[in-house]
Amino acid sequence: MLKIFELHGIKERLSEVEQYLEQALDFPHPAIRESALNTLHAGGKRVRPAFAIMTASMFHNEKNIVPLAAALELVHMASLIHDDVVDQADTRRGKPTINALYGNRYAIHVGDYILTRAISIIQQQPNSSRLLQIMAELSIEMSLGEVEQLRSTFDIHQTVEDYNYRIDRKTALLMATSCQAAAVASGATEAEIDIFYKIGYNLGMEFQIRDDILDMEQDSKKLGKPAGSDLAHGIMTLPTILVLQKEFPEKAELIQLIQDRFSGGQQQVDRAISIIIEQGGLEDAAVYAEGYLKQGAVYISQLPDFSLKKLLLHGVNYLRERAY
Amino acid sequence: MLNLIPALRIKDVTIFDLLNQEFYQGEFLFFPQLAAYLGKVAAIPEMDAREIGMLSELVYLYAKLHISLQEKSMADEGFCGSVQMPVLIGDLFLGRFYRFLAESEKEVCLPVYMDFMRQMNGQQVDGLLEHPRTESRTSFCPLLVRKTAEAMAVFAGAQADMQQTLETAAEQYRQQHWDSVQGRQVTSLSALEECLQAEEI
Repeated sequence: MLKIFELHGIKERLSEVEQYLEQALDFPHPAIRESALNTLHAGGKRVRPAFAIMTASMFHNEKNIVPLAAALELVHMASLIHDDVVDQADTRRGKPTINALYGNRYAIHVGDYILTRAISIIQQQPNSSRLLQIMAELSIEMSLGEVEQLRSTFDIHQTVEDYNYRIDRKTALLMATSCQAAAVASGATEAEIDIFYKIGYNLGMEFQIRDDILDMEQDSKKLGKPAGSDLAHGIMTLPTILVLQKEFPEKAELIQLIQDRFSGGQQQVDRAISIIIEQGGLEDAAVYAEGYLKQGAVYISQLPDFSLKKLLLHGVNYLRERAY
Repeated sequence: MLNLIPALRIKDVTIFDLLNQEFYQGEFLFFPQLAAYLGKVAAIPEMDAREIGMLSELVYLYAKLHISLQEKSMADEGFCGSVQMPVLIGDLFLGRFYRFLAESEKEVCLPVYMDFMRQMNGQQVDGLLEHPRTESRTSFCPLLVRKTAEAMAVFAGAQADMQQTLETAAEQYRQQHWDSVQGRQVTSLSALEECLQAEEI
């Protein structure tokens, strides 16, 4: 669990979310239940439920938000199962993926089944019609982001804007939606809903950029997947894009490695990563991450005073320091 | 004409450009036509019936793409069009289903479609567990036809006997028309647009 979520009041609610998830995934279909619970037990940071709980706390609605927070995690879980098929990932969080164990089709149907459960939970919440619309938009945008990611693999001409389009849809929107949905379900005003959306969006952007940095600087054991796996699959993340905008002696070599699609295996991926690190790609990307973090803090400071606000502002620093 | 064509566009391309998948003219016509027919039986406004047809069509496209997935590895040619894109575009259709459900104010039908998704995905998993190495796929069409009738009944606030009438009518319609679905193959959006306009869908 991230340190930020050990703040007063959040950890306890997250435990309730965990219990709710256990019950929600107790499907009558035994094979789907087993796969879903295995995915749940593999762990995860539970960032989205935590964002929802933090938002609801301003409205003293933390207790009632637990089912919605769990549903948001289920949406995320279903999308990860689908991502693993698309990326043909063999492991996640250090454990075999469903597609690696049972095949693509099986995994997709399990993901779909979990998503159905999430929508059923959302339909039972206050303001369910609005929540459904929010989730529909989220689902559409997430798919569009993934389609674009796929269409742009190994494209060395991508810009920061192209990257933002993708990660905005890949991660930031779900974070933003987690805050937005929790605010809607808590009866917030439109202005409050908007601020919470922006907080989630900025912290979500920071979160994904930091993830992309960690993907290159951490070892496989810590990540639970091979280091540099995005680059190996042709996904140009911010450190790579920023380095490719510079001029330096090894640039032609880096381009060649990417355009050859790392046909020589992990050794070539490692070489590309070492060039990106030498050229300051990680530090440059961290500047962008910091910018989003600061913007998120600005929006938090615009909120009226509530019990978690100070802690939340303080806790933003934990996001900066996370190591996995 | 209902808004099916924009749902088949993805930024600057169409689903026909992105998928290694065969589509037939009848596949895009069947559910809207079924809904129009059932709407008359249930005596509900034509636009509402058409909207339910559109919902079933989006669910059909989602299910078709996810069920059609291949078990290929990254090294195989066509992995993108046969595995990756069908997953993502299937998800996209599902998202568009939810959006259209909210826009058309048909949320009352949601539990019916949710039940379809639960049953359909459960059946597919059962099929895979029984025959893990075959390419056979359990047909989901009869179930979706029945659920379209149920959605119509729920929307109309129909009693159990009317729901039964609609389900029977829907199944008869399927038996008469589904076999002819695989007629003319459609490979572009303009060709499909022409055919939908001709049928006023």
